[in-house]
Amino acid sequence: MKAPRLDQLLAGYADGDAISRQAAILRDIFRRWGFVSEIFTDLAHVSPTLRHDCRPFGDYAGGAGDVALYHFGTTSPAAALFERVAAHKILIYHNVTPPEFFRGYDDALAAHLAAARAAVAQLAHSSAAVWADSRFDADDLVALGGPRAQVFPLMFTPEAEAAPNAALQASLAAPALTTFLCVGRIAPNKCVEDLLEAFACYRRRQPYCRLFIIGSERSCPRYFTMLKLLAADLATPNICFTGFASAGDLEAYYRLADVFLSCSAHEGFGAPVVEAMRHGVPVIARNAGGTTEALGNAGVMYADATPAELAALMERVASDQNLRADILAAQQRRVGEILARPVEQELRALLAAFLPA
Amino acid sequence: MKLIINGSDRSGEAAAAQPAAGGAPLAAQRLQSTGDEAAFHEELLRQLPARSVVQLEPFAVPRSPGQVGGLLAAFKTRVWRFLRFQHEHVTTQQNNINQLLAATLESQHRAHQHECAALRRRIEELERKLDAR
Repeated sequence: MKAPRLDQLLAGYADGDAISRQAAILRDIFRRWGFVSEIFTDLAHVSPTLRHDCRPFGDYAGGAGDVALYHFGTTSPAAALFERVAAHKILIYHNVTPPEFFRGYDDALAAHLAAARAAVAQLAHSSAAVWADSRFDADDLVALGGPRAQVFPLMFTPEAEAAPNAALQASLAAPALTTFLCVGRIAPNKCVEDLLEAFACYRRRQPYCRLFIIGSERSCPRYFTMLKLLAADLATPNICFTGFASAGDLEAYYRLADVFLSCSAHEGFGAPVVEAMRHGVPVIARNAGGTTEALGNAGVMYADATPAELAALMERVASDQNLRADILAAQQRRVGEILARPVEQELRALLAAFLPA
Repeated sequence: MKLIINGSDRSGEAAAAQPAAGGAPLAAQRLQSTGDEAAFHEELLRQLPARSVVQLEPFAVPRSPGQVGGLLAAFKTRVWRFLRFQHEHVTTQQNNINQLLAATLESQHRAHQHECAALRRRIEELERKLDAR
């Protein structure tokens, strides 16, 4: 009997994108198991460095008995292909940001997100299996009218991702400054404005500090404009929007950071929070969405904080050495749990119905 | 504020450390809840004249910690006094250019709005005539 193919369909395939990284890890596991496995995507949304690592939708040739995994995060031509494939269909729900966050900043994108949230339930019902990154995502899918998904959290590989950019790290080294770090694409659901206001409050109390905001601003330019204007209104220096960072640059920023901050109000999982814990940086995050599950019993989670309250919390985590030690110890335990997870065993169980015994 | 540290609810500690609240709303915050892109653009355009001006007021020279930081800050402050004359000459010219560009942009936007409104009225009128046939 011919071994089935295990292929994946994605809306795009990009450096630094959590879904793309998840797909690459899955593909490597499938290939290690001896299956043929490819990533199929819209070549218009592929990073130039990853062109060699994926194939266009038109090349997909899976048939009955094969398995097609569709990573769903937004509307895409992948949905039409997924609907008509003869293979066993598995939908992986990575969450779709509610459109309300984008209205006013990008009405067309808000309409796309609304369409994606309206379409996902039907796609999920027509799939042989549905997975989600977190319980939060699974609940969200049910709220949208979809079936109950099996939770399969994002995977993290134990080896280091990249060597840090030593030149960047040296040029930005400033031990006298307390360095705050935020990582993620610049989008309205990340609530970066809350972070700017809190940092401005913090800086009024502790002037020797800086804030690095790492992430592409291309997904919502008007929101980025608002943030730049807000930073100017706050008259607070040392707020650095760096844009997209390569893996090596990101490593350097994590090594420079004293505290990692996430004010995001809506996350499917919150991969940067796990990366920060891996790099031994204390995490302060809003208690919202999948971030709560990513942190587990580690890090600092807040809710309903004013900028001044968040600033006081930042000051406490940055300066209270006993608290930092407690947080870092708990984070190390949490990272240990995440890395020790029997991923391949979980995958085998999830795919048991579709693979030969 | 609700506060959870390493999985334990420690909201009580957060309340004890609560500092004073912030000041009046900022202009950029009016861009946060416009509801649609047209309103966002309108608000951005409204703010443009005030935002296109390069500030000439004296500013606080950033100071690094320690004695060396203090000496450097004093040095930078003195250097700035010498540079200011030329700097303000250039920024005044830049402000004139910025104001001209902002006024042109606003005037073009208004003209475009009027043109669109006139076209919309004309289309509606033509549609009414077609329906009447």
